[in-house]
Amino acid sequence: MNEGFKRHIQYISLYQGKIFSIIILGGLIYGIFLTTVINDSPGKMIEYFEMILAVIPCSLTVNYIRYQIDFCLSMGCTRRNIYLGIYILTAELLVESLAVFLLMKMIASTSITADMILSFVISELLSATLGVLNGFLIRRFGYAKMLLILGIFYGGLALFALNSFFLMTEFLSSPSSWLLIIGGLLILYGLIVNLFGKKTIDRM
Amino acid sequence: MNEILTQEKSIYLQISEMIENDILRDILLEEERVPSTNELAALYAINPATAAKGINLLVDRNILYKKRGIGMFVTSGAKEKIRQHRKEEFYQRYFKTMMEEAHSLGITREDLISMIHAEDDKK
Amino acid sequence: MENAKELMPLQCKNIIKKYKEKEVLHNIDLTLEPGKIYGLIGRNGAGKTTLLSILAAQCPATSGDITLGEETVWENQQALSHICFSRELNPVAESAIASMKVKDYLKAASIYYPHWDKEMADRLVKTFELEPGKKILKLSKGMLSMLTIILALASKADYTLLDEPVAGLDVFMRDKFYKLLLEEYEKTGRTFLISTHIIDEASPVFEEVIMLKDGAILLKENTEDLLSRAVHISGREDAVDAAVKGLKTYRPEKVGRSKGITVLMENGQEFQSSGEISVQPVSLQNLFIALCGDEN
Repeated sequence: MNEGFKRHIQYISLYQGKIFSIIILGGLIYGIFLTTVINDSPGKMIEYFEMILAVIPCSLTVNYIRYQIDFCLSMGCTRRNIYLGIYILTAELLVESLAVFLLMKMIASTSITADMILSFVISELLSATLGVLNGFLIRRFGYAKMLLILGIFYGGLALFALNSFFLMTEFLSSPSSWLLIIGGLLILYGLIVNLFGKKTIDRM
Repeated sequence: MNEILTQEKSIYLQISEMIENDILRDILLEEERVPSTNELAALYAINPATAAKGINLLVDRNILYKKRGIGMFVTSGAKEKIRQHRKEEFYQRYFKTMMEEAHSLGITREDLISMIHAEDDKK
Repeated sequence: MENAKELMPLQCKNIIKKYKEKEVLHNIDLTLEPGKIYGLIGRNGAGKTTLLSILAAQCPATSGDITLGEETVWENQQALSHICFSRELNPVAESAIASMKVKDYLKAASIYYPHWDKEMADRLVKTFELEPGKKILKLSKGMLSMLTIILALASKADYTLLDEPVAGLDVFMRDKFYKLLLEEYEKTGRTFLISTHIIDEASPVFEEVIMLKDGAILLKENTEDLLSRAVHISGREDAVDAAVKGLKTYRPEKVGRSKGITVLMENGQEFQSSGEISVQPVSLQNLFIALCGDEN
């Protein structure tokens, strides 16, 4: 591993640690709020928490692209290392949140079904793909490619949503659907922000 | 060494003149170490290369000499040399300009001579 | 300068930079020799910041190469570890530094710059009386400048580029900066390229001056040599015109019969003064105004 990349990863973990602690703290407060005020079932609360967890990879990637690229460049980091950072960040978060997910289910002693893990992995993979795509998109720079990927991405998401749509009555009451909606919005935000990220690199 | 730099002249010339002045006024004595390039640079906030240029000017004229590894020193006889040099400069630097100015103002030779006498009598 | 490193020059060749259709840098050729302090001066919009940013490979040039010795600087971590470009800090809410405190910023810098001198950074924070816990968003213009100075000096990079480091600093702090800079330069012989608008104050610090005009390098010369070639001539118009005949003149100014003009002599040319005209030395700032001011 080259020296510059090591330094960059060191910086990423520094800023990531901060955001992580804020989100986890936020999640806990939210959890306490739900338990005490709303008095929801533990199963649902855990799903809410998953929702928050799923937001992490998205928001971290978005934050990285929106705010950090500029800064890292100004500190003499190469573009290559910045792209690598995006991949590492997403892969790492995928693994981390999956571990937390499994742990949470075990604590709540909800039986973990294959479907559950699969849907979680899919939603996480979508987030992770988004992160990795960000890297590719910025590197390749083509608007056409970006639109193509956007199309495929939302196609997949639509299928995923359609699946939930059959359970229409359940739809809005299920946190997982909200997760989808929030995830979708974040992805949209991510992609829009991505365009700005590309412009940042171009303009500097 | 505590004169102020002006913009009227090249900085390196001012540096060499300041050192000369200090030698003439016995602020710097013969065979004594003069401030280093870096000390001068720090004092006046000037580039060390410029300070070095000023010092080298004096080395070339044998007013300063370099002791390897220690620094720059005032040559013995430097004071006399500077005085001699300034005397030679006097005509160009003061006398000629004075005459030019006097000429353009219409001050006559007699006027000038009486001015010299009057100034001398004051002492 | 005892320890001047045996470094290669930082060079750029045929640099062109276009933003959309607008060309902001035209065919820039520039060589920075190791162990010198360079001043970069130019009017607002002349391309100073863009040039600095390109030299540090932070901004891509539309065409042309930057090399450190034999190596290309672009995307080369090895070469980049020798370069620090301390940008002017502009903390808007939408930026990474907006949420940072002074100490976070320096912490990040200590991670990225391989030769970072923490002891020096801490000392300078004290010298400038900066509060490490203060948010960058809350810093005054002068404090932001101080932070960029700390980054530049403590980076210990062989080539350090500073973009208007004294903007917003009061006269005492500016003086402090020049002294700190010279002290560091004497100790390490690092190369500095410093852009500034406060020209006369900084000109004694610059061994060489680089003038940028409308995206092109107008001149690059030893500061003292340049100033020794420049004089301002004034007197009655006909006398001045006769005196400057055949010389390169800039920025003539007339009041009634009187005329003043700046002359830049070629090497070896000398100017003979006479009783008819006044010959005065020109400061770098005045020379800059004469060379880069509006035409006519």
